[in-house]
Amino acid sequence: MILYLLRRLAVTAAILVVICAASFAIFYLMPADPAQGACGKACSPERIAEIRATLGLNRPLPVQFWDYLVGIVSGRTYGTGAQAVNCPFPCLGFSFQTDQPVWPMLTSRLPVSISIALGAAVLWLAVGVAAGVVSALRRGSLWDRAAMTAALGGVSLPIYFTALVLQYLLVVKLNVLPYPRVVPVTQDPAGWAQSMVMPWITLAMLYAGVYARITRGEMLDSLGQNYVRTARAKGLPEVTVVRRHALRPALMPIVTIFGMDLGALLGGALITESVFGLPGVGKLAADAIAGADQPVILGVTLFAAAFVVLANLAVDLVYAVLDPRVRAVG
Amino acid sequence: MTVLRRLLAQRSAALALAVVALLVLTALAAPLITWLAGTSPTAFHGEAVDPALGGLPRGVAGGISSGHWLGVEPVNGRDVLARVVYGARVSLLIAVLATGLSVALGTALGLLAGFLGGWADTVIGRLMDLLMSFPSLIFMIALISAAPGADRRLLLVVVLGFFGWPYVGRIVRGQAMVLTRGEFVAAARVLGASRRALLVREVLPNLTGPVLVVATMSIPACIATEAGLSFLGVGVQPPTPSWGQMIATAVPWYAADPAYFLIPGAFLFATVLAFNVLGDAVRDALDPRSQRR
Amino acid sequence: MRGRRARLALGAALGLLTAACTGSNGAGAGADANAAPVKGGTLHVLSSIDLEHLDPARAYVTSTQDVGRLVYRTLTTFAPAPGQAGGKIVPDLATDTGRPSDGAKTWTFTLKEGVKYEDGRPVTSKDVKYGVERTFAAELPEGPPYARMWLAGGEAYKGPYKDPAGLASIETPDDRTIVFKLNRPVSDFGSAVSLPMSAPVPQDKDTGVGYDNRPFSCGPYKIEKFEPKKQLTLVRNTSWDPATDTVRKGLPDKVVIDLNLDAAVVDQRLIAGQGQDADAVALEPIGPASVGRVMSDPQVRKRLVTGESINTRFLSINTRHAPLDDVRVRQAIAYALDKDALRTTRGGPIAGELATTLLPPTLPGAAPEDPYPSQDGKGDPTMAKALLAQAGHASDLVLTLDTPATAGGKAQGEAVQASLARAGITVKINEISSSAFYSTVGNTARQHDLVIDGWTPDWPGASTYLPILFDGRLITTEGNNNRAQYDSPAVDTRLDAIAAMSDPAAAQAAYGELARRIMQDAPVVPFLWDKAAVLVGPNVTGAYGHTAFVGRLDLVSLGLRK
Repeated sequence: MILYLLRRLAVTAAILVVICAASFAIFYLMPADPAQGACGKACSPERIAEIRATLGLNRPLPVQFWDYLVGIVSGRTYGTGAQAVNCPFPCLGFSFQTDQPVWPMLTSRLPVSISIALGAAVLWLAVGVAAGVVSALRRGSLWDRAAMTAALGGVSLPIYFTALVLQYLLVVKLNVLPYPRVVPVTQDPAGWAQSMVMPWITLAMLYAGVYARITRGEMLDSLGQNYVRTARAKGLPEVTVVRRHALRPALMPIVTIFGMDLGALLGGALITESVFGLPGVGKLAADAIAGADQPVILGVTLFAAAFVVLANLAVDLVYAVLDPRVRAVG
Repeated sequence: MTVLRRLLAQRSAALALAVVALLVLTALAAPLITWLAGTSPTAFHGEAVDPALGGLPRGVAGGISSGHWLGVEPVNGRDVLARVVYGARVSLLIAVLATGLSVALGTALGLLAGFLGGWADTVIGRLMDLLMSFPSLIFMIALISAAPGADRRLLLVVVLGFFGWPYVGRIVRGQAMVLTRGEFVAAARVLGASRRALLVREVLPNLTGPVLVVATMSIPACIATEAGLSFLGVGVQPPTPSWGQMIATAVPWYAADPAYFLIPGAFLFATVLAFNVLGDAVRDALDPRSQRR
Repeated sequence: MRGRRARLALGAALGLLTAACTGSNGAGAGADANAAPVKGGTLHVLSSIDLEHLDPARAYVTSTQDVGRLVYRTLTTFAPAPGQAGGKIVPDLATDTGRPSDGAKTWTFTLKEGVKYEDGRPVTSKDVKYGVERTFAAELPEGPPYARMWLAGGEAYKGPYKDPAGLASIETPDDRTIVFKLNRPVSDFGSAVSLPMSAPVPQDKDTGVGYDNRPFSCGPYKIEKFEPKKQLTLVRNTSWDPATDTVRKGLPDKVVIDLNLDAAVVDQRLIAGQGQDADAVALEPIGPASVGRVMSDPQVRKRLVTGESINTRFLSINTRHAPLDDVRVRQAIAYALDKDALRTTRGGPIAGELATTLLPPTLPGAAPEDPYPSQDGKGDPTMAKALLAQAGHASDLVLTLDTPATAGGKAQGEAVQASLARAGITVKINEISSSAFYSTVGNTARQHDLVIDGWTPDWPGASTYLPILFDGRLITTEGNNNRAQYDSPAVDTRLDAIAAMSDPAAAQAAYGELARRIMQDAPVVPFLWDKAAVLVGPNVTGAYGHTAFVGRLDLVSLGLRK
C-alpha cells in the first residue's frame, strides 16, 4: 500500500510539472507580451525594458521555467534594489498589474469558490443520486421518464442562462433573495447561505442532471448482475439488496466523476462567479483574462489543474482502500 | 438504415431530429429569412429604442412588433430574429467543424493507442489524461485571447477540436483494444490478413457506431462551449452575431429587458437539448443493450 | 492627463457609462435638502472599478484622486461645490493659492499651522518637497508630468531614491514655506499643485513601491485596511483638525469602499437601497441598462445625482494613414458619425450633451458652433458621400477601428461601424485587451485608423488639453497622446504663442479660437460632453457631482442622515 501511495504521488507530481511546463510554454511563447501586459497604461519603452528585466523575460525560456519552479517551492524575489518585490513561498508568479504575488490573490478568493463548490456539490449529489436510484428502481415508470427528461433538460441548460433566469425570477420578480454579495460564513451564516443559494442551484441543475443519468445507468447495470439476482434469490430484504449489492458498486464510478468535478469547481466556477459577480477564483481568472494579466492567468490555470490532479489522486487512493485489486494493477 | 428506422421509432428522437433539421435549415436559409422579414443582423434601428431610458426597446417584450418579430436589441435596435438566425449559422458551423476535428484526431490517436498498445498506448493514454485534467475553459480563453488578429472562428474550431479529441480518443482506444482482442480479428489474423487490412476492414467499420455516438454528443457540448466562450468575451468578433455573445450582452439588461436574454437563451437551450436527445437516441439505436427504457 | 483620460475611456470600456440628467446642474439632487447630516456612521462606497494608485505620486485617475482627497491634503484643491463652482481652485495645505513672482517663474506657498499627520506630528514643507520629488522617480510611474516638465533642473533629476540630495529648485526656507523655481512662466501653477503630487510624504514613512498600499494620512481619514481589488477601509484620523480644513467635512466615522464589484450589481443594490445599502453611494455612474429602471421609478429617480464634467469624447482619425491624410475624407467621417447612437451606447441623453466642438461648454474659452451639422446629431451620410466622392473614395474606403475588448468598447465600435457604413465606409473592429489598449493605440506603429478617445483637462482650462493632444512635436512612437498624429506647424506656433501669454483670460480666448481652427482640419470628431448620473442610498446626504472628478460624487462632502 505504501509503495502504491508513493508511486501515485510520484506520478501526480510528474503530471503537475508537465502541466506547469505546458502552461508556461504556451503563455510565454504567445505573441502577447507579458511585460506589455504588466506595464499598464503609462507605458514607456524604458519601463517595458525595466519590467522585462525584473520579470527575467530577457533570459532563456528554460531558465525562466526553472526560476518559476524554484519560486513555487522556495519563493523568489523579482528585481533588485529599491524596486525589489518579494514573492514568498509558494510563489506562483507576481502580478505587476496589481502589485501583488499571485498566491495570496488566489487564497483570498478561495473561500468564495469553496462555498460555491461544496454547497452545490451537496445539493447535486443528494438530488442527482437519489433521482437516479429511484429512476433505476422504477424503470419505465412515469417518475423515471419525468426525472430523466428533467435530467436531460438540466444537462442542456447553459449555466449563464440558468443563472439569469434564476436571478430574474427570484431577485427581480419575486424579491425573495438579495442580490448576490460576499458574506463570510463566519460572520453571518444565514446571509451566507442566502447569497449562495442561486449559485448552488445554478450549478446543481447542471450536475444533478449528469449524476442522475449516470446513477441510473450504473444502477441498472448492477441490478442486472448475477450477484444481485443471487442476493434476491437468497431472500434478502429488498432494501438490503439495493443498498449493499446494487448501489455500492454503482457508486464507484460516481465517486470518480465526483472527485474530478469537485476538483474542477474548487479551482473556480468561471461562468457562475462571473454572472453573479462573486469574487472567487473563477472571477479572478475572468478578470485576469480580460486584463491580460498573464502571471495571474498562469497561476489560476496551475492552481485549478492542481485541484483536478489532486482530486484524481484522492479518488485513486479511495479506490485502492476499497478495492485491493487496484493496488496490484495500478 | 435499420438504425435510422429504430431512431425514428422513438417519438422523442424523431422530434429532436426534426428540431435539428429545422435549425440546420434555418441556418442555411438565414439570408432568405431576413429578406422575408425585411431585416438585417447588423443594421441599427435607433427609432426602435428609447434613448431617454438608456436605449431600452420601445414596446412590449423587448420590442416585438410586425417589423421585428422577436424584438430588437437594446441600445442599437438591431433585429433579434436576424441575429438569432445568423447566430445559428456560426454556432452550428463551429460545432460541426470542431467535432469533425476532434473525431478525426481522436479516432486516429485512439486507434493508434488501442491497436499498437505498449509504448504508444502509454504516451497517448497519458496525453489524454493530461488534457482531460486541464482546466480547459481557462486554457481555451487564454489561448484565444492571446492570439489576436487571427480569425476567431477558425481559432474556436481548432481550440474546441483540440480539447475535445481525448473524449473521442478514449472511447476509440477502448473499442479498438476490445476489437483487436476480439475473436473475429484473431480469426482474420490467423487467416493471414495484414495489419493494415485488419485495420481498414475489420476494426474501422466496427468503430463507426461508437464514434457516431460520441460525435452526436460532442456537437451540443461544442455549441455550449462556444456559446460559453462567446459569453466570456472570447467568441466571434463583432458584429458577427452569436448566441453566447447575445446572452453576454444581455446580462446587465436582464432586469430591464428580460426578453433579450430569454430569446437567444431559449434557442441555445432548445438546440443543445435536441442534440442531446438525439445523441441518447443514436446510442440506444446502435447499441440495443444500452436501451434502458 | 493620460491617467485621467485613461480611466475615463476604460470606464466606458467596462460599460460603466457616464450619464447625467439633461439640464440639471448636479446640485445636491438625491438628498433631501432639509434633512441635516449627522456626524458618525459608516458610509459605504460601491465601486465597479479598482483604485489604480493610492500613492499620491502615482494617483492620476480621477476616481482615485476623489478617494485620495479623503486621506491626504494638497497645497491647493478644488472647491467642494457642485457645477462650475467646483472648478475653482482653493487653498488646502497652503494659506492661499500660491504667490507668483519673477513673471510667474517662482511660486511661493505658506503652509497652514496645525495640520498634522495621523501620528500627530506636524506637516512640514520638507514633506511636500519630498512628495513632489517622488514624482520624478522612475520607480513610481504613471503620475502627472508637470513637476518634471516645469521645475528648473527637473530633466536631470532622477528622484529621491537615486538622488537623495533632492531637487535644488524646490526650496524650503522654513518648515512652513515652500518655493518652486520653474524653467518657464506658468500662470496656472497654483492649479497644478491641486493634483495629488503636492501631497506631503514624510521620508521615514516612504516605503517606495509599497507606499501605494498605505499612504500616510494628513486628511480626515486614515487607512485601516486596504485589499487591492477588494476593499479599502478608512477610519477617522483623530489628529485631523477641522479648523485647518475648509474643504473636507469628515462627517462619517468610517468609509468602506468595496472595489471591483459587478457594475450591474452595484446599480441593482442601489436601486433597491435596502439595509446597509441605504448608507451607500456608487463611485461610478449608472450603466445604460439601469437607466430605464431608474427613470421610470420616481422614488429612485430622486436619488440619482447628476454632475457636469469637463470631459470631451471624440473619435480620433489617424491623419498619417492614407487616405485619411485628405481633409475631405476626415470631414466626411465627421459628417457621417452618428453621435446620438454613440451616446445611446453610454446611456442616452443622461450621459451628456452631443458635442460639436473640441472644448466643452464648461471650459472657459469655449464658444458654441457646429462645423459638421446633422439632424439631431444622427449624422449626415449624404454630405459624407459627396465629400468622399470628391476625394475619389466613394465606395472603396476600408478602415480599422481599435476598441478595448469589453462590452462597452464593442458597443461603441459597432455604433461607429453602423454609422459610417451608411456613407459607404467599411469599418473593421480590432479588439484589444483592455490592459494593452492604451499602450497599443499610443504606439504609432501599432495603432490603426480610428480610435474612440477622450480627454479631461487636469483643471478647468485648455492649457492641459490642446497643447498635449494637438502639438505635432509631441508625437512619440510610444505612449503617444496625439492619436490623430495631427501635425500642423501653424498650430504648433500658435500653441507656443498662447503658452507665453501672461493674461489668463486672453490665453483662454485664444485657446478657444485655436480649437475652432483645429476643428476645420477634423483630426478628431467630438461626439459627447460627458455628464455623470450617480445613484446614492436613501440615507446619504450632501451628494453632488463634482466637475473635477468627471461628475462623480464629491466624497469629502458626504454624510449620513441618521
